[in-house]
Amino acid sequence: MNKYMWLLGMGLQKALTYRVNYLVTILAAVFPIILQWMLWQSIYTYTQADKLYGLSYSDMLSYVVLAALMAQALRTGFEYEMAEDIKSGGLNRFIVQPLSYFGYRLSVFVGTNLGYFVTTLIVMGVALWVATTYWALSIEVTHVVLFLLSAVGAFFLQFMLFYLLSLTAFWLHEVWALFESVRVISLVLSGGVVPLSVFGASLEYYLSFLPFQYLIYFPIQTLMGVLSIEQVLSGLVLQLFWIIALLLLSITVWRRGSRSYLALGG
Amino acid sequence: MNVIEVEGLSKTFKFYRKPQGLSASFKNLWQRQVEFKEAVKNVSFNIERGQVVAFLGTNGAGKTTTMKMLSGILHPTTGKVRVLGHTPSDREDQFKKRFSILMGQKHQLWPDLPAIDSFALCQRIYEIPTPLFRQRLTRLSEVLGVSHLLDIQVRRLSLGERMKMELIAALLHGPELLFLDEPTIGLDFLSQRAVMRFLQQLVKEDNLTILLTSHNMADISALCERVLVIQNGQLIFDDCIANLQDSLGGLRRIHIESESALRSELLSRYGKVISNDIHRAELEVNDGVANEVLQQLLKDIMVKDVRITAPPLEDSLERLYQRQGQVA
Repeated sequence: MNKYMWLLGMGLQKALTYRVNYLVTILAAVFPIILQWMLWQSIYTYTQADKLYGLSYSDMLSYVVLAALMAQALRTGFEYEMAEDIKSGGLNRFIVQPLSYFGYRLSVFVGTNLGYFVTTLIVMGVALWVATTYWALSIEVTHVVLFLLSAVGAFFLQFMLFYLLSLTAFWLHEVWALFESVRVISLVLSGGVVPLSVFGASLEYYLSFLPFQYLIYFPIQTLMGVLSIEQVLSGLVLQLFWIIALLLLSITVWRRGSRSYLALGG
Repeated sequence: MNVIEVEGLSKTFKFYRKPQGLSASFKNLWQRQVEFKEAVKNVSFNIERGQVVAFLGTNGAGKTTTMKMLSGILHPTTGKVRVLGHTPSDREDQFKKRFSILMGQKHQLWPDLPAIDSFALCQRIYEIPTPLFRQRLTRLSEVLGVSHLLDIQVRRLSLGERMKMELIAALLHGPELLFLDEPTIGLDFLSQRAVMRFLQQLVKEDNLTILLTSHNMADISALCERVLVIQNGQLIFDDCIANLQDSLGGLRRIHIESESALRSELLSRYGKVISNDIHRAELEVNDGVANEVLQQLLKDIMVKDVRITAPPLEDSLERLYQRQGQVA
């Protein structure tokens, strides 16, 4: 078996060792969802509007629930490990062993998050069933298939974004504030809190030039059948474009960073 | 054949200084004092296959920096390095498969999984054929006495057991050269001895070359035939241990035991009194006059027991550092 496939398996094993952790984080996702539910309920009741930002009450609720779950499915956590590796010399191991750091991180990310990702998608399936039954949301099988495709793309895009972000540890000694800010900003800009249409047409237009919306907004729109097939396909291409663009960028940044990399100690 | 060839090796680091106080912190926001430190200065040496060499020096002397340049982790600022015929900073996979580096505080085993899983990862990384892998794993874990611990989560092992596991991980691919940075740090003395005995056996059986840093003199006297001493980035000594003591103008220690009280004023006539607790004393004299002094002592004092020894390695090193300090 290839060394990277083996690492993927080890990541999965490690994640399985801490399965209770999984359960707790999924349960924790329930609270913001309840909060949003109450918020939108009062907004729609107060304004007496049929549609807000182009979405009916049931669409809005379906969106925020699905988006919150999607945000959970894309959870990362390796950025602190990476910062630690860079700051305290953990990278040394990858310099002296025939093992690529990027390959290592990617395999372990896929391995540790695979179970989590799939579990969350199943929870989304349950939410979807609720939405179609009680909120009159109609879902087509094609949309589900296209969504799964875009969700896989979002998974790798999220990895690339946070991998690139973690590389800043080559230059910054304290990364916590940056990581947390980016996490929150990325969550908002990717449509993980509210649909991007809430920000107005012009901002939504500018946001379409950034990679963030391909993490949550685009997949959920695909799932809810808001987009035409052509729009979905071009969206998938753009998602792939961003994954490759960030990959190329991170290769350059890695080269720069590892050149100035100083392993601690003397 | 030389496994390591180093010529005129130097490494300069850039760093920042911040004087005490808040105002200095603000000033540092836009204007930082840049300073340079020459961690390694013009170091040259060769190491032959099968040699075990100790790398000694105070904290921050440049040992680890040199080791990092030898393993390719750091690029040298100037100078030439050839290790196993490769230039380490090229970081070729073919080179990486032929050596191993073990740093006392850095680990490659996954703490959440049993060691056997990490070993299996090593097998994939180094592409070790399965029969060879099994054979080596059995041998290494038996010699180190950890066969029964292979399937226990690494974080549940004791420090000594974990260190032995790290050693196994470093040796599974059959390296020809082993860099050890503080291998026995934090180990109890039984584990230290077990590790050292094991390394000795490896050197004998596999013709392994080892370069090791340690602050533990017992490790060094047990294992190494040659020492490199580095201070302030400069190589100040490169020879076998016995010569380290002789090169400093050989000194001898005379240990005396007596039934009657020994008085320091009296003893200081014969040599430098290192210690004296009335019935037992230790004198330091020059090598050349040791016999003479001893005879004189036997004549003058009622001696019950007497021994002559070389001063401990620590003392020789301290004197070497002091002498070098005066020169610099």
